[in-house]
Amino acid sequence: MSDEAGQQAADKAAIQEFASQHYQFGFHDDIKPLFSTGVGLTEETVREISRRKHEPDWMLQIRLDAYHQYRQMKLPAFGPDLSQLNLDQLRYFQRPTDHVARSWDDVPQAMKTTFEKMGVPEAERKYLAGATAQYESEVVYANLKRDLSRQGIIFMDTDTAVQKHPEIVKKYFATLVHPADNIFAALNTAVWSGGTFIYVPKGVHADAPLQSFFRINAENTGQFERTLIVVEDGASVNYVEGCTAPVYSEDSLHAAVVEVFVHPNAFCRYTTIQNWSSNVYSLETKRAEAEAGATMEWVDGNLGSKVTMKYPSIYLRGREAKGTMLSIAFANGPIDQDTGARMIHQAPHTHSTIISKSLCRAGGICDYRGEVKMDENAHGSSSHVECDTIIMDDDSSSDTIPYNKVAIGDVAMEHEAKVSKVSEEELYYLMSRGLSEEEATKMIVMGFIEPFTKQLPMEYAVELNRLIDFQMEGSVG
Amino acid sequence: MTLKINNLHAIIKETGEEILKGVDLTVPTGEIHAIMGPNGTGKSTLSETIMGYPAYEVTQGTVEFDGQDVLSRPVNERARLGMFLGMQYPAEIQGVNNADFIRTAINAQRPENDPLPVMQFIQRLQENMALLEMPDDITDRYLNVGFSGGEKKRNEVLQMLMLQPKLAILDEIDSGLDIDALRIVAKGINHLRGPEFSALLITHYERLLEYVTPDKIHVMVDGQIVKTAGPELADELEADGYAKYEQIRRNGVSE
Amino acid sequence: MNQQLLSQVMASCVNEPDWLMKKRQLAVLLQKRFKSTPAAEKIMTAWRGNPRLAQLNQAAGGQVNADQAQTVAQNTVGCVNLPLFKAANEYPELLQENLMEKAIAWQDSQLNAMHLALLNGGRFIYIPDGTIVKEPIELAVDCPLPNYHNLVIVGAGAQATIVEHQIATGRQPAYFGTELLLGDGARVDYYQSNRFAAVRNHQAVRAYQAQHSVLNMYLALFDEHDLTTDFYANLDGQGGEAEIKMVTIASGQQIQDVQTQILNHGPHTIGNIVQNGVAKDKAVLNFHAVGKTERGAYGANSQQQSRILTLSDECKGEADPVLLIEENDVNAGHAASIGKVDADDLYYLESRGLSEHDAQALLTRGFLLPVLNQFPDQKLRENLVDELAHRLEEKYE
Repeated sequence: MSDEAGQQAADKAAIQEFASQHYQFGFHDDIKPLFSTGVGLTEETVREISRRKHEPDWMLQIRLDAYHQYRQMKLPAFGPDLSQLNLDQLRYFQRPTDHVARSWDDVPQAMKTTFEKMGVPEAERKYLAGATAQYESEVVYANLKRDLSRQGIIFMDTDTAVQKHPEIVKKYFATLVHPADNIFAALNTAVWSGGTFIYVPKGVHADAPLQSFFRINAENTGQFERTLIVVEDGASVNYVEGCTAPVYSEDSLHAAVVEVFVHPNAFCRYTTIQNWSSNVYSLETKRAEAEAGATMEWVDGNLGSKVTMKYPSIYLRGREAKGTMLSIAFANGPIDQDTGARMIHQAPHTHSTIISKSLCRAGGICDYRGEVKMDENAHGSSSHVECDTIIMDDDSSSDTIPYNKVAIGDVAMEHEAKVSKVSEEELYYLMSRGLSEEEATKMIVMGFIEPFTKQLPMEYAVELNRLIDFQMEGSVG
Repeated sequence: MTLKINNLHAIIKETGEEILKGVDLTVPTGEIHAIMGPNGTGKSTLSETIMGYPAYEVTQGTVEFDGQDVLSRPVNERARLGMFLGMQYPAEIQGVNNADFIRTAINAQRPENDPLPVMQFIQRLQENMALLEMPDDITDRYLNVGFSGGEKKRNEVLQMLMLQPKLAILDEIDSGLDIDALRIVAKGINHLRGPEFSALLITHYERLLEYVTPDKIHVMVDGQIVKTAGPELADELEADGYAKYEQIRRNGVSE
Repeated sequence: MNQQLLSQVMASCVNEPDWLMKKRQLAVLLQKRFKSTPAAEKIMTAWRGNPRLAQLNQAAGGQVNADQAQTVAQNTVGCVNLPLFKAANEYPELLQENLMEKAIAWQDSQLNAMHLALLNGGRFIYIPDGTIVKEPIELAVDCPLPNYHNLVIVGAGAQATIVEHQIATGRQPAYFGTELLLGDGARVDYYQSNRFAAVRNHQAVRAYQAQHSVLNMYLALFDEHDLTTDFYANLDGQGGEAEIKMVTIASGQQIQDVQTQILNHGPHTIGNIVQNGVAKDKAVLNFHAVGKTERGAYGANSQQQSRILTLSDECKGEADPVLLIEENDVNAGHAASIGKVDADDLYYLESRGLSEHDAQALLTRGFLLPVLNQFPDQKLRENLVDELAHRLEEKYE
């Protein structure tokens, strides 16, 4: 009996711990960035960034044009409240070390400790086909396994790609996401730093997923990585990224831009799990284009941040192109997850699928904003959308705002959504088999997001499992 | 392990309508009892109320199991007392693997640091599935999702065999089953029969009772038990129906 | 331009009570403040160009309805069924409080304000508390002027069936507005199948529902001209129910833009929207459905279904089912689809001997009939089915 009392006391303590919203990764290194452009953004800042990177003139020009574009633009008129985000108060560039490390031994110890605390296991590095880790705005650690190089797969940070493969970068950079698209795309194009560059030559299949880790450090640093992925005809690649950030007193901005080009009959899957701490604004622009016979898949997990605005889109440009978006959003606490997907059908017999699952509790907001468009060329195309939301308590809310527009008649478009709280019937059924209310709720939540978790590489599925478990603790009663 | 129900009254929360109007019932350890009666008389409500289904509220009376008060406990603790309710319309839970769920339920009722070892679990599962003549893929599917009525009932019995309860309440486990499925379900129930096991079978037709011989049969009409007798009562009901007992209930006489 | 319009409106306000005159003035003066849409702009431009301000001839309007009004008055004591302007004089308190306030608010949009300012006539129907009207009340009128407005007030516990079959005959874009105000526990079945003559028109039917009231709306949008709509039910009190069932056909070069919304404000309210539409030739059919559940509306149920069947390759469609949920103890869902007749179904029917044309027609009817069959009035149903067949057969040159 005393065991039980002890257990109850321990449970209570654990619940109190959680209630104080203790973020488990709440620490940050005492690394002083070697170089910083100071607070705020001017044309001089942009030039300085380009100069420090020794960039060719054409890239400087792209930055400057984007900067001028940025100055003319306004914050988006829809979605979450961004009024507390002060773009002029951010520090725009850091370079923690002076060179890009080639091997793990060269990485500064403090950073290694960070990776250890984040739980990147030693063994994984051997298994994975080489990881580039982004620290601050710079890639510190890059290691390409001989396999990849031999196959001709290029996997490096975008800065280095500008130097080493300018022809490829020039051909694709900012052609899918134009600076004029939205203010954060313009900002990113002006001050981007770091990010992943992947090029897969014709017919080459990358066997293991390519992975990347990065974090934000130092107060008020904007994170503007620029990712470019090109998959040539008949090739295939699987890219996985998961990131986390420590807690700060002032807000942090994460405004990445991702452009993915999937050539005819090629395949690309881009998996992200985001677990930003509760003061981060995650405002990303992710866009892909799929040509004839190509397949593009976004797999997106949004677990943290203060505000997330993310609508990965796929332009289905060639006949029989396929696009899939599988996402979950978990707004646990005063978080605003404004996410969705856009599928634009511009060719015949193209197909798209969107499966979106959201959960919100403790004052969270989960909004789905989606668009499926079929233009005059999309004869015989089809689209299927399923978005389900569970609102777990009465402090939280959710909106589902989809647009489904077709410009021709011989297409098929289906859309379904359900919004409810955790089903009392289901809770009762599971509890009648002995599970506590908390265990039963967890089981229903995990079952709800199962279509998503089963698509993740195992280590991510395990991490996700642990994370949700932890976040659900003390959530009942 | 005796189940004692005393003057139980219960209402539907949302409408206030009274369904159980003073039920008295005792199921001693080791016995199997059956409850029969016309539709809509509260048989299912009785089983749901014992288990704690949120739509009903107890207004009077007590339920004791093994000397412990049942009604003051939340649903899962009633299960941990050793009670199992096989439902008439089991819920479908998306994304939850059938086998994983059964193992979680088993472990929920064991001490925290002593889960059932995986190999033992698999062995027990395979034995019970063979007993119930269930196909292998049933364990990979999601909990009741897309199961036919018969498959759902058999899944309930599978869970019962895996969880090894002290008291099994089966709510119309025979409805919608063909002769073969019925025979198999009965096999499962009889498999658990023993001095430490009691069961309460709620059934509309007496078919099930041809395969599982009850120690006692109760007739329930309009929220009350109006007759208790031995297994021979089944034949009488088969021949004459419930008219006599509806009459008795109306006149306010109960035995 | 405002000044000119203002004086024209004032000049037309003969025999009107003070409060109504003032309201119409205000509407003219303030209209620019309210929101507008491009489609509404087109309608208002036509009105401003040549404001038709005459009041609907009382006799003409009355004649069609005179018998009905008599019948209603004879069978059920206390019911009122009068031309709108007449009612404004005889029941000033009722109308002042309720005309274009609770349901179709004149301040909601520029178009609404102009509708009030240029009001030509309409009908006022009042069913007192507890009254059950067995005979359907017909709102039938041949309307040569653009702005016609019905105000229906159904008292607590009252029941009525309303059949609206109005025909706009003028060349100016018409705006037909009907407000349904339901008291505690009231029950209303409302059918509508209006026709227009102008190239583009607007239709608004909005309801305000007190607790435990039940509203069933059955709408058949079979007119051949461009149309924008505003269908809305505000489930303000607890336990209210609103069902909006709609079938529509868009053909030729028609543009139909259908806005439908149910607001669950009170707890245990039930809202259901079912819209099935057929688009053929080069038509454009847009369904915008919104189910909004506000905080505090626990136990609410909000369901929607918007389906568009496309019969040609050149037609266009949009289906935007929006759910705005602020309360977690709800059950909400929506489904939307846009697509052709199922190829397997076509094949099956053809394999039994039907021509492709007949098979197509059968499947199209099969798409609309399930909703049409839920319109309880049999005669109306049969008329609509005939019309449906006719519209589907029509060839577009």
